[in-house]
Amino acid sequence: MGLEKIDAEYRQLRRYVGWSAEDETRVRQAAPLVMKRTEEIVEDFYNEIRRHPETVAVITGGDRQVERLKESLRHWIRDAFTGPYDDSYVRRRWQIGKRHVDIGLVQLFVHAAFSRLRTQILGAIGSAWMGTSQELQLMLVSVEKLLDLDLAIIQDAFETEYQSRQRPLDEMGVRQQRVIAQISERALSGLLVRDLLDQVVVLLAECFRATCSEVFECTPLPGRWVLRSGYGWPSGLVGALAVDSRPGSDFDYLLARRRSVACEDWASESRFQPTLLAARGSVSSSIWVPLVTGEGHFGVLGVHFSQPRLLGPMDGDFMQSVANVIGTALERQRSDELRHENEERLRRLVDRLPAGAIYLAEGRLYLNRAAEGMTGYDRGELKGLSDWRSIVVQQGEEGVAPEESLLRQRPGSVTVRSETIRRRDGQERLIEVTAFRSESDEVWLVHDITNAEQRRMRAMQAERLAAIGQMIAGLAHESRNALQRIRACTELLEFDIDKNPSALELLARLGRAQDDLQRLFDEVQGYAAPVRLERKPCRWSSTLEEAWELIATLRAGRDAQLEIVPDETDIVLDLDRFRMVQVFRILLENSFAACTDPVRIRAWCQSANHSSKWGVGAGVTVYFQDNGPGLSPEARQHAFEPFFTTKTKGTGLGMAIALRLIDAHGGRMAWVDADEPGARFAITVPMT
Amino acid sequence: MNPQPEWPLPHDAIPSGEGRGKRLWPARPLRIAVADDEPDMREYLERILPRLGHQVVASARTGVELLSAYHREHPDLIITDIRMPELSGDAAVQQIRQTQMVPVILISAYARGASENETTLELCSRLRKPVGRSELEAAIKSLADEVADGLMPTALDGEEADHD
Repeated sequence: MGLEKIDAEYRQLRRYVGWSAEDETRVRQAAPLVMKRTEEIVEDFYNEIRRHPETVAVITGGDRQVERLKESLRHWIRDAFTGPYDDSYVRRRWQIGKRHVDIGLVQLFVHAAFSRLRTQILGAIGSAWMGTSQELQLMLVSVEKLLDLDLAIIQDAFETEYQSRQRPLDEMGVRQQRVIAQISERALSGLLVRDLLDQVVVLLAECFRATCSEVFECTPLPGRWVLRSGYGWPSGLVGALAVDSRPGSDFDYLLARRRSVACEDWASESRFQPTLLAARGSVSSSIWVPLVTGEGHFGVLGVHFSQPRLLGPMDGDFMQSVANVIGTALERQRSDELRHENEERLRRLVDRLPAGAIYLAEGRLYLNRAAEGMTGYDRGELKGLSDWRSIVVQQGEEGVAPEESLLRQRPGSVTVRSETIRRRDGQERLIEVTAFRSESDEVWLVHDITNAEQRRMRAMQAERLAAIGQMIAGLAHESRNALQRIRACTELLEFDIDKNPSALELLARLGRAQDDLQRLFDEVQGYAAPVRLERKPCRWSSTLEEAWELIATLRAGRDAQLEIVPDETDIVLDLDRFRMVQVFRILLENSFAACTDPVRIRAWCQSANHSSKWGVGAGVTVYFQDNGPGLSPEARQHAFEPFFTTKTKGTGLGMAIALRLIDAHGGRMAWVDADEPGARFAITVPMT
Repeated sequence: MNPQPEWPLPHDAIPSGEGRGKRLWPARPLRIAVADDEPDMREYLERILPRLGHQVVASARTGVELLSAYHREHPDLIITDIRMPELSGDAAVQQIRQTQMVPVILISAYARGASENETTLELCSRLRKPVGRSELEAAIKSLADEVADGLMPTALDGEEADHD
């Protein structure tokens, strides 16, 4: 409303109430009486204000604001009773009404407050008046006219201002609604909070037509916040600018409010130190809201204006709504991250499980690493159930899992089956599959039990051998006694018939037959008896040399040579010397039986990656080569089987015993293909 | 201190020319006590040992008989089977050796490693059946060498008179 119009209205109003020069004079006369009681009136006024929540609510600036308001009231009283009642007087009243709109004071209370002031003022005049009651009557009427006029201007100003503001406010409300909708939509679209905040500061600045806006974010460093997103901020500061948020700082103050805080005029701000903004020099008004999640503070969202701007409760609520949307988005993102992290951990757990696991859903297979290692195929190659079936060469029986199985504590069926699969490298392995079936999927735990099965077979074999061994030992003991008696008698017989050469010859043959019988018993017992190693550090080459010495009688009259190729791999190993000599002796005896002269035996070694029932490790492989006819295909296949022999004499236990002895060392022994004529065997023993 | 069993002095154990403190087995004949529950084996030993130049002074069927024979005859050498009724050969030898040292040949039918608690005894040869004259001769010779190599404990010299 134009000022001239206001002035004109006021003059019309004065005429209406009949305000005259006499009224003005009487009011001036009353002035000293009222002024004397000013403090009383002011105190009464604010005491009453404090008693009503609606009026207290508009005083947001604490005692300092109350002091300022008291000063305003004193000024108003002085102004009202001293004049001059010119146009500028009217405009000052008009400002009061406008100010009431600013602070959102309910008009009802303006009337009530005025009524109280009126009572106080009239009372003050009445009690101090020394003249006639007629004069007093006139004076009070004039004062009443003055107060009515003041109230009328204030009321008019309030209404005019309220009306004029209402329209932009409505528009503002619509804009704010739209911004909330936009922000919510973006938050719900799963936009990263980082990006969401960048958009929020822009949307807010546009909506408020603000100079700048920003989000300050807490950092793990106590008391240190960083400018996370900014609109209207100098480029380069976003992401780099750090501010103080320690107790007592502006940020600390804002957080403590827990809801939006507005500062309409930095110039008269008294609640906190105007140190907050780097850009505060160019800022007149600001509004903030703390960003809070269930876990604590995230930061503060602020909007700033270079021109002074009124910031009402609606603006505060709007900021609060924006903060709520952001808070929800932050929490959702946090829980998404957490869920993702958990899923990732679970996936890693399953994938890195040292046991094979396969997940089967809708005909598709998912193998973990251990399962990949077990089959030799990667998960891209075994995608479906049919792929799995194609590598199964033999399907075992399916049974119900044992009661103690953990999986049985869950609903669904648990079965155990064994399958022989062909690995990618062609190896056949025995796999035990424990399958947990639910309606929608299956989980298989797969174990390679090939080695366990081999161990079981070996243990069974050992058990059987032990039983045989025990029997043989008893048999051998008794037969030794019998052989002893035969020997005793033959020797005595020799004395009695020492003049009869043909009888002596028969006795000698009898003696050889006894020796053969004896050796047979020894070998069977050696094969069947449990092997107890007495390991001592020694070199394999020295045991071969010793074996060579032991077969001196065998070598007699033969053209035979042993060559041990020197090698740095011929290291000191923990071996049972006696047993190793026995092994080489068996090999040498076989070679001497198979080879025609000249007999040439060559042995060499190299380091080996050794894999045995005790795992994979470093070892030494010794190669033993003769120049005989080599092994026939049949002999290759059965060389290590007990009672297999190519010799006309012998039990066929030699190589079986040798294999047992090497096995007892944790080693391996095998026939190997050679690039030269003759038989070649490889003995691998681990380094212990 | 490890008490040394009293060294039994075989008759004429000290060659006349030797000084005190060193005793040797007589070259031969040795006075030998044999023990075996098998009559064939006893007969064999009784007949074969004289042919090797030794004298069988006692022939026992059990460990108990061996003990009494030993205390009666004080032989230079014991040749005994291990498994015998009443008292085993090695147990009888252990009893004797608690007080007196005598060279021993133990004969058993066990194979290598079959008997777990084979302790190594001083002046003791172990033979496995079947045993012939060559094995016996070799065992006796190796014991004789061991005796010859051994220095007798001088502290026991004064007790020679106890044995007769």
